[in-house]
Amino acid sequence: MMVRDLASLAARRGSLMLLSLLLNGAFLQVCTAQAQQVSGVGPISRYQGHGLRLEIQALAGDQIRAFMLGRGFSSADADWVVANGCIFRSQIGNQAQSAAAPTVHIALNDWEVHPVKPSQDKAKPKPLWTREKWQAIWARRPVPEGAKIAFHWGLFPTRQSHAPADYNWGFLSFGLPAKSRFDLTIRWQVAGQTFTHHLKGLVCGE
Amino acid sequence: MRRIRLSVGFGIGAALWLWAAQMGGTAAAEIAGAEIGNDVQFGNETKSGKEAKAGDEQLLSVMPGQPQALDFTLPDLDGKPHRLRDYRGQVVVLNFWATWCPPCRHEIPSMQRAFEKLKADKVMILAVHVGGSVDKVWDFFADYEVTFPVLIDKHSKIAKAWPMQGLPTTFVIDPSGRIVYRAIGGRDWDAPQILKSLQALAQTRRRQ
Repeated sequence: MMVRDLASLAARRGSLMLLSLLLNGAFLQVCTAQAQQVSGVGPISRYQGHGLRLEIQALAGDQIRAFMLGRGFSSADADWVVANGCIFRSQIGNQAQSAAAPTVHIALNDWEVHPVKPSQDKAKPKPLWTREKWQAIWARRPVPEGAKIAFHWGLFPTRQSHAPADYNWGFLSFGLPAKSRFDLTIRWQVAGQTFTHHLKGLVCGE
Repeated sequence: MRRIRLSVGFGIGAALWLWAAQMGGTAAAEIAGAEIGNDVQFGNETKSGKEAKAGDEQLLSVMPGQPQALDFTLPDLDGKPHRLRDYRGQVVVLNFWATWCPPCRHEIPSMQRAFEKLKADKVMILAVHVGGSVDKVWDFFADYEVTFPVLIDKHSKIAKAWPMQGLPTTFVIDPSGRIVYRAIGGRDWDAPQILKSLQALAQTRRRQ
């Protein structure tokens, strides 16, 4: 039985005990899996320079399902996000540790997703799926309010200014089908100057 | 593969997030762009890189404009209402967090330690949980006991009204009710540098 089926079963029966046991067991399993250097998540891409510090990594479908089911989404919603959302985890912040360093301004609307077609031709750049896009998506689906709130705050903010030592963790959503390959152009501003960097060969989880 | 599916399929979001983050030390890392040569992590995570120095990530940023804190009333875990304005005259550390947010979970114990160390200075800590999953909050505090008020922002209306974009975000409010510092991302709140800043702010109150 798939783990998400177990989750649904536990939720339907209102068995908090069963759910709790599953969660705790899974946590231990996760730790075990970590020690075994499991595959199933993408490689880590890191960048550090011009004030910015960034680390992103594709999440596996089951990781996304786990987060979503735990927050009250349905299995169908979770599957839809896995199939269409292309979710990465991220840690992004100000590289500087000195209070005198400038603030780093990030606007995800300035970033570009460049899907790579099988023919190696590059498609037209696409925007990220930001909080605003997801808000519109959830508005069309019967999603519990608590789940929407968690998803909203789980996504990396669309716009944020990071003072020295500030950082955020959050999901980035590139709005591509599972297993898609793409390049990513990131942009940020420091002291009025815009910087650009390209991350190549990213792959959505499945 | 089956083991992996079982492993990752049902973990709590925080555990998975942390796990994914920690994979950097074990999985083959594809470095695009300027490589961070060592395992420099963010916030309170383990630092082994040359650029990371002890205590160097414990900065509190001066809040731009130092605006008056927006007042609110929220219930704590027992349903008792707390109004921010009622804490006027004290330094208040106002933390917005959620159980599923790894850096949030990491910094809560350090807030408790700071709360205990700053009792004589009468520094209040208020932790506002964004979202209404009270059961999960209770579960969390079964592992991490805190004695400062934990408030529930069920519909995240207060979080959205305050000048913040992500979790965790923490504000330090001076005794006159102005936001003087802000920290985006987790901190070790009992780090000497932070304790010193909070004590200095509390002593300013005493001198006034």
